[in-house]
Amino acid sequence: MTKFFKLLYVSTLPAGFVFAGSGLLWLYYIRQQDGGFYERLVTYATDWNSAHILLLLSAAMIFPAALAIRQLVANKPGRALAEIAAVMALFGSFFLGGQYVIDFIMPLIARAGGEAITVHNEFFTDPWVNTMFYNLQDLASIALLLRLNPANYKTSY
Amino acid sequence: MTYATDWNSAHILLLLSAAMIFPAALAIRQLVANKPGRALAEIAAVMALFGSFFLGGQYVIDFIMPLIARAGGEAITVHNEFFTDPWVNTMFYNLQDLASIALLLGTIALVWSKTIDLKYFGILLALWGAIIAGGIMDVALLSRPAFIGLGLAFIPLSRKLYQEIK
Repeated sequence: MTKFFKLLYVSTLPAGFVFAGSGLLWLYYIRQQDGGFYERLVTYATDWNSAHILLLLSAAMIFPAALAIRQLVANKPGRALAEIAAVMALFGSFFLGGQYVIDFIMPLIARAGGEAITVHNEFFTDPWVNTMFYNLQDLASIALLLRLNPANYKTSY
Repeated sequence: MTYATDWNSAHILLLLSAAMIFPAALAIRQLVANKPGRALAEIAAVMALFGSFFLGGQYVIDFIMPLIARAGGEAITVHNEFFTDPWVNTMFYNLQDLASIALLLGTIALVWSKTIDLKYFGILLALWGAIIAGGIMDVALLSRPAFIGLGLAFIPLSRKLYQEIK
């Protein structure tokens, strides 16, 4: 492994959380502004999209981060759990990233108005979109939580 | 609207394929570890990570398409904006090519490291050529079977990797 790749690889765990936190704080800033939800989306579209770039980056870091932790617990108890978590992290990160991708469409929907607004409401009722991008995205968090299972570190003592 | 279930089912497969790109690039990197071409395989892996998210993003947007078609009216203008909005267009309709470029670079790293011979490389290159030519000339029937062919052509490499991983 080259030094650059190694550095990039091990940075994904802290970087993922820093990107996620920063993106969410940026969204909080938008939420504090005056006006309704769609109105704010139009006015603060650049902030909204920039925050979502950070969030998308954080989602992209989840699987490499899960692999980095898996490497740490290789040949230790709980390894199988860590491997199940890696698979969950792969798909979970895509579902979570999918939710952020849909959010890039939101300023377009807000600008268009009319029937476009009904499309937004359908995100939460359409079985495909709702299941994958608003329910299964939790797999990513569950996967990272499984990684922190103390059993993974038992042989270190 | 009529074929919404088929459309969404096809996109489940496409989303799955996008999710496989980064692990596939990592597998290629593992095959060329400690061999010439290793740095190229690592650059390809980073490109694959981001490229797969951009490509996956295009497929995610496609899940919204039946909702847009059903709503009609102003919702249709949202679809048209996918190709003009600088954020959506750049990331999900341009940068998604990073994924294919990454896997192409990975294939080059495989031959550079002598992990595969020139004959095998020729087969892979022909299939890659068919995919690229299909994309440029819009010959759907050329590039689509080529994707399946490329998948089958990588099976011997996957077997080799399976034997190498302890």
